[in-house]
Amino acid sequence: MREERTEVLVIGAGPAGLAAAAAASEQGADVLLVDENPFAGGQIWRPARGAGPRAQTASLLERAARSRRLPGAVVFDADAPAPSVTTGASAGAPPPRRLRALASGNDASGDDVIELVAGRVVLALGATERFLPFPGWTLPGVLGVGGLQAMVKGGMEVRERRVAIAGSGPLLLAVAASLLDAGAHVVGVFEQAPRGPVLRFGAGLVRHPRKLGQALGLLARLRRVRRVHSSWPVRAEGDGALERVIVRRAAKRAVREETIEIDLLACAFGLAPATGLASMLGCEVRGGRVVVDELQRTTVPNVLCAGESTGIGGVDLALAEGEVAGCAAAGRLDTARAASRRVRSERRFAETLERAFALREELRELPRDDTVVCRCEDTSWGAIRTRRDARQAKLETRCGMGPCQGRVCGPALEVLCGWERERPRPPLIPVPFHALGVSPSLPEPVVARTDPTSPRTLPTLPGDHR
Amino acid sequence: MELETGETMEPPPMRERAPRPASRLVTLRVDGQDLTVPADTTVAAALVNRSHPGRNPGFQRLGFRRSVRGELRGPLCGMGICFECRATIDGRPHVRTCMTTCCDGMVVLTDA
Repeated sequence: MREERTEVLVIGAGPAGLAAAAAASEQGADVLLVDENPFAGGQIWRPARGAGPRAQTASLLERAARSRRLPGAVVFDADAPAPSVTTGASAGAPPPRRLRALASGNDASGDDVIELVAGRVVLALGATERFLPFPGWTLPGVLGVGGLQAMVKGGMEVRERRVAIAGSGPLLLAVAASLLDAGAHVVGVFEQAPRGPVLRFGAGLVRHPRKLGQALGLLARLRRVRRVHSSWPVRAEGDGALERVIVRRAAKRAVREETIEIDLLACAFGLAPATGLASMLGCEVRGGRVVVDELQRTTVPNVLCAGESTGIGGVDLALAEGEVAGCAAAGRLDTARAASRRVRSERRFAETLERAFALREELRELPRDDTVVCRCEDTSWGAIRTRRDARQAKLETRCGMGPCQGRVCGPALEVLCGWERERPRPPLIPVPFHALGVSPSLPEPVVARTDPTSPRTLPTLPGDHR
Repeated sequence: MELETGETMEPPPMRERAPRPASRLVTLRVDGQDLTVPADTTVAAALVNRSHPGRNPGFQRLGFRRSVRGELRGPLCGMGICFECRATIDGRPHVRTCMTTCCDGMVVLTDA
């Protein structure tokens, strides 16, 4: 294990993290920018295969040129905050935060574990897509909306593939357009939100001319693509892989169902803030969002949060929040306060977005009792729905205990049951034993037991159930 | 190892990754068979592309992992969240193939 010390540690190199790193280093702070991806830019600025960083990424990286970068390293563990013992002016500076990251690659010497020691931490964790379970959603060929786009950017071939896009949010249209460009046959875009609210939202874009321009550009590119509102997939079918999807459409008086033969279904119901690491650090998470004040400070001293983790609001809000967080983390509170005005106006836009694409009640009736909800543990809806909360479901059904640690089923159960997500425990992702060995917050790995009759001689870790 | 200002530290390399033109091809070994793909393809995309009819007619490999109950699964999130695309790469288990770029000589074991 080796150690990296820094004044400001920024976790996540998407728009919010890049803006935070840029602002903090411009304010003179020593910055370390960590991201689990090999590239900077986050999901929205993910470069296509073989292409360099997007222009926006490059210009923010240039502003952050004085900061150090650590790509391809995933933070899996963090020391819980020490209980505060002193208050008032006599209190000394809080001790630095200690987090541990695992670099990609295969290096069993232990040098792939990095101890990150930071005076202040800016969490720019982004968002995950919100998947809702319906019969057949686990078939290969059913992917997320941003998920399919990311796969295509990674080199997945979709030429002449029949693709349906379903779920909710402006991302559906953006991905439809990019799939057309990649040569896919887009058979339809099925948006669960009714047409009226979405049209009103579109009309409201006159106050955001750049966003309006983007929306009109997308619609022009999609003029030959079938677009349906108040419509959502109720079932996917196929033998070993997706072959067809059944979509329902709520019309004025009748409910119609239609079967569409397809090769790929891209389906996600908006985004859910990524909160796992914040929650593990002890930050308050309310309503699925990390709670922050006007300077992006969380409820834990010296831990800040910016971007989608504090509530879904798109790239402009993420950039604004990142700027504020970066200034605040560098100790320039006045600059941060001035920059926070932009956050407030962008947040109003985010609220209109949320209203227009609010998820409809019918979606909560999508899973049947035998529909898998937790894909890691194959826990079905019938086993989960009678539990009291996410904790009880986890203890009694293993729901959320697999390698993804509830990142997929957690946001689904927020919608289906109204359950707050479980606070994750380290390690946040499955890591090799040697990485656990260096972590003081984890129990000592038990490797010496050799009783052959004991079914488990090793501690349970995410993903070791096979 | 200390990082200098402005320096980007690469993760510990599995093998030398020299800069190369985008058109370069790399060959990895998947479940004992060679698979040649353009450099910078993610492993997940390379695995899924084996199912494309233009390449390999009638060959269903969209899914390349078995769930705990034995269901065939393929990638879902494409961005390192869901772990549905995980495989053993160069001996390390549970690697998210969507977060990993193909390299020459890489050995990938799926469990489907």
